Amino acid sequence: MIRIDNLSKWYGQVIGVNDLTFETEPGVTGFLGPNGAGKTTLLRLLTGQLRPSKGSILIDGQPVWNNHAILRKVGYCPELDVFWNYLTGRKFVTGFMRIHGFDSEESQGRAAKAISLMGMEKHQDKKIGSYSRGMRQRIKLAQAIAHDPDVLLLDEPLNGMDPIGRHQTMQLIRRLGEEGKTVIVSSHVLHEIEEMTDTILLINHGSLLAEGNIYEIRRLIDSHPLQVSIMCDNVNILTAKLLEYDDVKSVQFDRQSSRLTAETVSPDEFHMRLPAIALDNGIRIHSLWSPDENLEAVFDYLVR
Amino acid sequence: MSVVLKDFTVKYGEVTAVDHLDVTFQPGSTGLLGANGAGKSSLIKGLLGLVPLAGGTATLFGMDICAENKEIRKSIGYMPEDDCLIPGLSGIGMVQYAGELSGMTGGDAMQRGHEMLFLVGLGEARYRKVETYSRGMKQRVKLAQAIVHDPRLLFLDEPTSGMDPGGRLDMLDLIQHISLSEKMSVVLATHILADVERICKNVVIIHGGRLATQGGMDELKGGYTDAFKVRVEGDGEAFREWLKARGCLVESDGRSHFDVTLPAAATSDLLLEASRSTGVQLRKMIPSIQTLEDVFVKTIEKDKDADI
Amino acid sequence: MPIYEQVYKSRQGMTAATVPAWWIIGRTGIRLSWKKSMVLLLLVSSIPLLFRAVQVYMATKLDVAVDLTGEAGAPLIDAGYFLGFIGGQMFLLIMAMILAGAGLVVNDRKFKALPLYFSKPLDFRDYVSGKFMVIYFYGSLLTLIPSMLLFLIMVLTSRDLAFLKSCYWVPFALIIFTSVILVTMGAVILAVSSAARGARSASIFFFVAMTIPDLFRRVIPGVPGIGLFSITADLQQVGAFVFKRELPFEFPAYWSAGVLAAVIIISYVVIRKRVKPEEVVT
Repeated sequence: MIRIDNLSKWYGQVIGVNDLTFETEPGVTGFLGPNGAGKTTLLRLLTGQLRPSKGSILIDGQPVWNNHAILRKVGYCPELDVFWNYLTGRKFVTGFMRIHGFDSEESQGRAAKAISLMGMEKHQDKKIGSYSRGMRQRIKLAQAIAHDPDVLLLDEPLNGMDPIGRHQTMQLIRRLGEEGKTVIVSSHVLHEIEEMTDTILLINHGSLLAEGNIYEIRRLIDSHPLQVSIMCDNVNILTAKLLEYDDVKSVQFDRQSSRLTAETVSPDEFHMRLPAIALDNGIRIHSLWSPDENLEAVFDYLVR
Repeated sequence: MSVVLKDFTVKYGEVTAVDHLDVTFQPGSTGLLGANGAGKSSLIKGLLGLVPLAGGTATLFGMDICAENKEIRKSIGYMPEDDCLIPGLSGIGMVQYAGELSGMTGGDAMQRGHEMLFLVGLGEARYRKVETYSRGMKQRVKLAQAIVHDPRLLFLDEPTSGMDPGGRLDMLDLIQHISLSEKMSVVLATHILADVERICKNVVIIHGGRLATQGGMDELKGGYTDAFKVRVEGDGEAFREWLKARGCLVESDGRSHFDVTLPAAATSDLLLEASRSTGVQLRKMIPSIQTLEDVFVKTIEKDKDADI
Repeated sequence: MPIYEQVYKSRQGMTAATVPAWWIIGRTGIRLSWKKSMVLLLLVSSIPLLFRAVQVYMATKLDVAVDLTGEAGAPLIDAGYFLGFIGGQMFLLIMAMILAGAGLVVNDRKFKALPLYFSKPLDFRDYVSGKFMVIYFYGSLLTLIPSMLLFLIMVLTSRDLAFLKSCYWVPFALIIFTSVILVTMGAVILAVSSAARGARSASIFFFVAMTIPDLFRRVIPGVPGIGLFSITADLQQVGAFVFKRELPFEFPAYWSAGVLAAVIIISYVVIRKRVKPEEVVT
């Protein structure tokens, strides 16, 4: 859906994004990076607000810059909290639908649908100026999804929402992804991204650091062998058995909490072998997880 | 018994933000949760005397917050949500100033100010003007000014808002570190449940200005169940079918994650067996425990009129 | 030999401060207002002071000369001389008020510092007194302190006690009059600073409020009572009353005092309304 080739954007001597090349598939992609990494610049480039200094952005095979037609297929929820405060929520969304070229009736229908999807019916006739931060986020999202775009670009959509709002919005975003939309969503809270998707796009200093499935990305980080933590009966026996194999670099175990943490350089073999070892030796495994196989660890390894 | 609220009410004009609330904050770290407009900030501001009480009382360490307002504030630290700064001062200047205003002598405040700035990681930047600080540094200096006088109670209002992942983790570690000091109790008001889960021992959930639930973190989250959260690598469909054929309830979220409920009398061995038989790697297998989010959503949704 | 860890330590062996909060706020405010422009202004203001000092010194010499001729003329330096000095400082004083006071509250509001202040053990009174201390400090540097210096020079250089006998009350009058000026102007600048959106607009607003009504008074002198609307004119009127001089305007002095009192009260109400720990959003 989105195809970016050698994209760069600079302002004088300041470089915003630097030589990005990637392609996104339909589904939800988590968009990550520290502050100042160039996330907002990239989103602005994607929505045609900025002109690339170099390279190209294609959405659905068409360039984005100076192409109003393609923007009909794009929904954008900016991070900025700047609003037409004197409008009601309903007029705000309806107005945007008119801009997208729908007739008055169609616009109202679409606005009503999007507003109800975001759970804002109760507040749609109040002025936006009186909205709380979470309500503003919802109305911005309603605006982004109302014209049923194929591509959704959401910049920190969960920021300022309360847990209920987050929960509902994350469900909505996941559903949109399952429906085959291309959703790019940025957030600083890694748990939220993890909840929505396994696919990420990680940039830092304007350059692409990683792109794709986080578990595959984790696999590619060779410098850190994968840690596997296991809670089981007979920790010492399992420890001894695991150490028989060369790919296991170390095992730390703690008899008291009956927990061990192994480090392996070959996670595939390790996991294929583990069930057999446990079952054959009658060791009951209560739980099993990799403490550094999550977004937080991946982010940590790549960014720091 | 650090903070006791009785019939505590805060109103803004006609709007009731905190509604006859009775709650006791235990010593240690407490997460204060609630939806937007549930009254978290109003509760803290009411306790600090930043907004007047419309009714009720509260005592901090046995002192009445109205009668002994100034005295109490000597032993409270407050880190507000907004980017609050005292313009014109350097980092150390601002923290020292905050210390002096809290009743420390100039020398003590300066000494401890330096200590606190190193603690929050602003050692290098402490002579710079606070207006030139980045967002994350502003958060840090706000924390430093809140703890410089070694308060017995620290209120944090959304301390990680707007920080990037690295900064958030640093901030949380810092708060946890401080909350482990035996003398100080911490009240953390936030939207981000994961933050509370990470550092708080107790939880207070308020909704519509009233107490929804409260208790220890472990107690609220409840015990283990016979359900597991599982992530596999390989042919997930085969894995799923194998388990289904043996009476398991398997829910998938469309990715490689499954929620598996075992049939009666089965143990986690069944999952290992599934992995061995199908050749699918079992990458994660943890008992489903209620997360704080589950608790929160359940608690709030009991109230059908839940406002946004 | 212990190892000291870099961890959060409780505060130990520290003494409680005895300084009130307003003193700390005032002291810090004075330090922050001590800018290049302020120093320049103080230097400029010392030029008329030097001139007057020379004048006073000469007058005492002249006094001697007058005595020699045996003609007892009116002394050149009397209470009115000090009133005139303070009147002459008025413009510089307005500038100093702007430099020291325009940003005092507005910057705290802009950077949302008020919740920080009011979460500390202090209240509205401490805050406003502290801010007023800044104004009083710089205001005194331009009015009270130089005029007292002049008085001292006069007393020390006079040969006889005639001046002291006739003008012993002048220091008290100076204290009262400068207090009236500084309280009025301080209240206005703090009110303007708490109501404005930025230090710049506060400065402009204060300058206009202090000069424009006075300009009207000078341009259209025929209208009776027009001087009442000028704060500077009212201050002059009260000053003349305090220094037992002929009143410069036709209306009684207590009318002016009433106007000043009203200005102070209105300013106080504005400050009270705007200096709140929490902006109440409804």
